[in-house]
Amino acid sequence: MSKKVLVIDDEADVRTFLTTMLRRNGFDTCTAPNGFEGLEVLKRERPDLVTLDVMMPMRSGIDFYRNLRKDKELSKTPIIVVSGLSGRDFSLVKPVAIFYKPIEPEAFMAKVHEVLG
Amino acid sequence: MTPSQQRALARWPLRGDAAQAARWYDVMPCYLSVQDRDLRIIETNGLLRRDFQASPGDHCYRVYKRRSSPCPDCPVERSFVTGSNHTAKERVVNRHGELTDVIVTSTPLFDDQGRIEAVVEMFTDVTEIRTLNSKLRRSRHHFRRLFDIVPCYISVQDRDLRIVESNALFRQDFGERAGERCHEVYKGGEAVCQSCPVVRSFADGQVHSSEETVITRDGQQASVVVTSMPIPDEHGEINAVMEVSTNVTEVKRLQSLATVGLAVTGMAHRIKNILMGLEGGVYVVDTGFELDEPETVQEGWGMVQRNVEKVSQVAKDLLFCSKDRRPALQKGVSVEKIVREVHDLYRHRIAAEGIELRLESDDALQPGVFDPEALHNLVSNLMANAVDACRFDPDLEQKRHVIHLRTLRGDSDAVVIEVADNGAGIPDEIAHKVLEGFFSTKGTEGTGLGLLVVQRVVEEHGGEFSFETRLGQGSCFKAILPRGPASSHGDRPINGGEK
Repeated sequence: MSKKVLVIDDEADVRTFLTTMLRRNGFDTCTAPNGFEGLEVLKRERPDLVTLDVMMPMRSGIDFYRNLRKDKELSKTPIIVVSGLSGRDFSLVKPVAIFYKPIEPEAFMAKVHEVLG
Repeated sequence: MTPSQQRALARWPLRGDAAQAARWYDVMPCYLSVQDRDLRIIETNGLLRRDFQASPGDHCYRVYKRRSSPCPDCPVERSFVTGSNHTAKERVVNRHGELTDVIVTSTPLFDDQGRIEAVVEMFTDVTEIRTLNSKLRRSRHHFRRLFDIVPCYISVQDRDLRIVESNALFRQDFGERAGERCHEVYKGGEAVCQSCPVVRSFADGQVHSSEETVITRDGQQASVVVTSMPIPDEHGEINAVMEVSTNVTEVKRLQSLATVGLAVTGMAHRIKNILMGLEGGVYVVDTGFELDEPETVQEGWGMVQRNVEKVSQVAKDLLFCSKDRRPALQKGVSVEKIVREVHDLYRHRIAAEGIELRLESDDALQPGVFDPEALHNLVSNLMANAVDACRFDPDLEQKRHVIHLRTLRGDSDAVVIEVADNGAGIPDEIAHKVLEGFFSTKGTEGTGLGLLVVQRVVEEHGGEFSFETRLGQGSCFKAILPRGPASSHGDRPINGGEK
């Protein structure tokens, strides 16, 4: 069974881009437009990896991360942070990787493959 | 003493009671002497005897100045010649050898036949006044120097706003303009500036300030911060106001450079983000072809289109904010039609996101003089903000989002455009920043240009812009636009006819 990646980003175009990339590389995908819905989808779909835009409006990216950490089981899910703004402090979040937009497809997919082994 | 002098002395005082006159004469708080034509002293008063070694028969110049000949321009001599009073400033030496500055007045005394018999010479010690005067001169000089070296334009103005006095910097940059009116000097204008701080200081006796743009004599524009201070006279009445203007052109320039820096950073992020959308779109189109999925191709193409649209909007906004843009005002423009166009543009796009768009307008709104493209931009920007406010509303109750797009009739025939949403609302702590240039909460999605464009367009139309907001309940942005040609831009060209 192919592995599943949850893409959380407030921009529809970024979601489409990332899911197409993942799909093309043989992964299943699910999406959420903000951190609040992201948590619901996470619980429901139990993905193997999450790509998270931490700079979404209303701090929903950060909130998603906080809620994730509270749940012992869910907090094991690896996270790749995708951010529009470089040089931000990600001390709150301990992702397995950080990518700044615009994203280089090869480098991004190489990381996904590495994380999901 | 000659016999004639002895006679004169014997007859002195000539009139009235001799003893009485002598008493008056003695107590006068000045130096008094009576002299004959040879400038010999016939009589002295008590003060003169006390401070100068003067006895009857001595020559005046010998007693006062220890000279051997009469002083040049002697007032006593002149009184003998002209028969009238004369004054002079002299410096005399008293019995202790001290120099004393005095003011001398000579008055002729006539005999019964109207001939000048003698001259009374009176002098007053003005050494102290002299000292005070020179102190005053020094302090005046000191203040004058301060006045002149202060790096501000300083002028003193009368009630008519005429320049009474000005400092060196003022004269350097505006010329010697005493007697001219302030607004003529600073702005070359006939009219008194609106809310002139000097006028206000005359009215209420308080300190006032304002910001003005003035033109120096070599035609340079300068931004100044003006402060006016009333100068009360000894009766407490204000007949003059001091105006101090500080040139802040350079500060402004640096400020605007900082703002430009901020704007460029915001823009770079925004464009980078759009670029990612474009690259993503191309990638998705590629994938669609590779996997032979027409719907994926279509999806990718949609991304490309949207991002091209976004980048063109950024370019348009930038142009709107550029300094040289002039509004293209046209007659017969229907605001309602423009609002409807924006409505049609957005309706389908946001229906997919579960946001409802409602169009409302007052009946029979008359067309007016507007810049149609600018208004389109104004409504689009407010719409885009309203959509974002709904899209990013963290409301967990999943309320139904509605945006109202209203065109209403305002007071005095104005047209009111209202864009109201029930989205996120703006927190109090940032609400005041919303109308500042380049302010954005949207990260890479915003350039902070949108509301700047909106305000610019409203300003160009001589209108008013405001908003109300409540966190969690939504915001309402409102532009009031006068239907006629904007009065403040009346000189701007108006293209005739409808497009």
